[in-house]
Amino acid sequence: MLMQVEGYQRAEHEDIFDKMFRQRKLIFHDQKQWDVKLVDDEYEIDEYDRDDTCYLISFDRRGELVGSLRMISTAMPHMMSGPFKKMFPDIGFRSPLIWEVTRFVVLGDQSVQPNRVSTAACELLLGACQFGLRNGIRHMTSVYEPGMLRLYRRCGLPNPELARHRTERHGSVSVGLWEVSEALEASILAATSLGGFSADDRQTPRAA
Amino acid sequence: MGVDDDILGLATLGIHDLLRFEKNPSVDDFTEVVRKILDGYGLRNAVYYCPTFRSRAMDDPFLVVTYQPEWVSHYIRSNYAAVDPVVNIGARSLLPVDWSRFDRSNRKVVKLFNESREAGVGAQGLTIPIRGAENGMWALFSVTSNDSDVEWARHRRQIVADLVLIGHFVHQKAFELHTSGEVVDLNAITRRETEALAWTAEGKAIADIATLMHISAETVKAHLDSARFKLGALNRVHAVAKAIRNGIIS
Repeated sequence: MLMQVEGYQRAEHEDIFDKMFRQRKLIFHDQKQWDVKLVDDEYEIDEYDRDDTCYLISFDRRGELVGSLRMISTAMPHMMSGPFKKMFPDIGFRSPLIWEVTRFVVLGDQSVQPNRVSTAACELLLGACQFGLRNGIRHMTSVYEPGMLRLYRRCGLPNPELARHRTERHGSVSVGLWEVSEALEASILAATSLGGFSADDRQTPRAA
Repeated sequence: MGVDDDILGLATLGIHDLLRFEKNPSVDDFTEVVRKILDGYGLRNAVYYCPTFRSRAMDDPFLVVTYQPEWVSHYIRSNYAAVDPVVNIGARSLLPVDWSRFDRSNRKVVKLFNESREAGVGAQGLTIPIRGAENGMWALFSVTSNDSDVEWARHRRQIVADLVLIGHFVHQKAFELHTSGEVVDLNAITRRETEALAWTAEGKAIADIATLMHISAETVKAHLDSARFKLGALNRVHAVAKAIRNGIIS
């Protein structure tokens, strides 16, 4: 099950936010050893986790939090206009119709779709597309590692690559762009076998 | 100009109207431009509300309204901004919000919506929250419609992206009115955005520009969307006109 929350709702959903930031710490700090900031040594939170930041959070059947992603309008300060700017000098999207996806995490989901991708990852990608359709967003952009391409392909997303950058410590990273469209939604639905939902059925569900 | 322009209902508002509007507009000029945009989309009313410009406040916002003046003064006199869920949510969220989603369990909110309906505001409503260009600055752009629920569900989905653009455009112009100088951010425009603008000025369609620039049509659209926002323009024709005027392309 997917839930959509905005940063300003943090007090209202404190447990969920805490779990999400803890899971991000496990992945980005402990496992990937990215240079990320920690709060209280326990939560991975940075300056892009603001009131106007939007999150999709995935829960499994037991109600455990098994994944999340973060979305920010490129009309506001975002990672491509901040820490990633040096890596991709030719790309500087700024538009309320173009949103940036970062901090895509899936951890501990036992459920797998027929495309051999975890249900949480499939739901989050579909959810981002439907979020875009609901909110008048035309493109999603993201910085990703090459390993993500196979996942995108299995979930029905086209190859999004715009530019690539080689880093010293973490191999290469790419910046990608997807058009948000009903055709993309149909493609993800078909590839992930996540039938039964349309974007309008998922209006800000309440906490699980 | 490329025929595949991206923003729909602007047949009622030409490039000359836009360029004329941009020269030191009065509040009446704003209302006229917004009224023309509404006509192009078959919408009933619109209100742009910004309490956060310097010298403005919650009870003294910069307002562009197409409602009856009686409703505006009644709204202000009743201090409805304090209970209005449009203001309450719009001030915090960045996502377009449909008025049908508001919790109607509060009696004051029900009274507000009933009275607004009687005043001819419109049966349906959608609010676009806007942030920037300075820290702490926010504004709301709302439109209303007399569509039925079924019609509105479809219509809203078709026009929401355009309304996001229009809301930001009105906000950029209103911001310019409250500062000296323009919001145009010339330094932020990238080499690829300039290229895409230049080909658009040559009359190339998106598909041709994609071939010329060796990128996908989607990427061309994103570069043009981005350039448009940085230039404070409403559509691609307008973005090209402003790019030429600012010497970004010739």
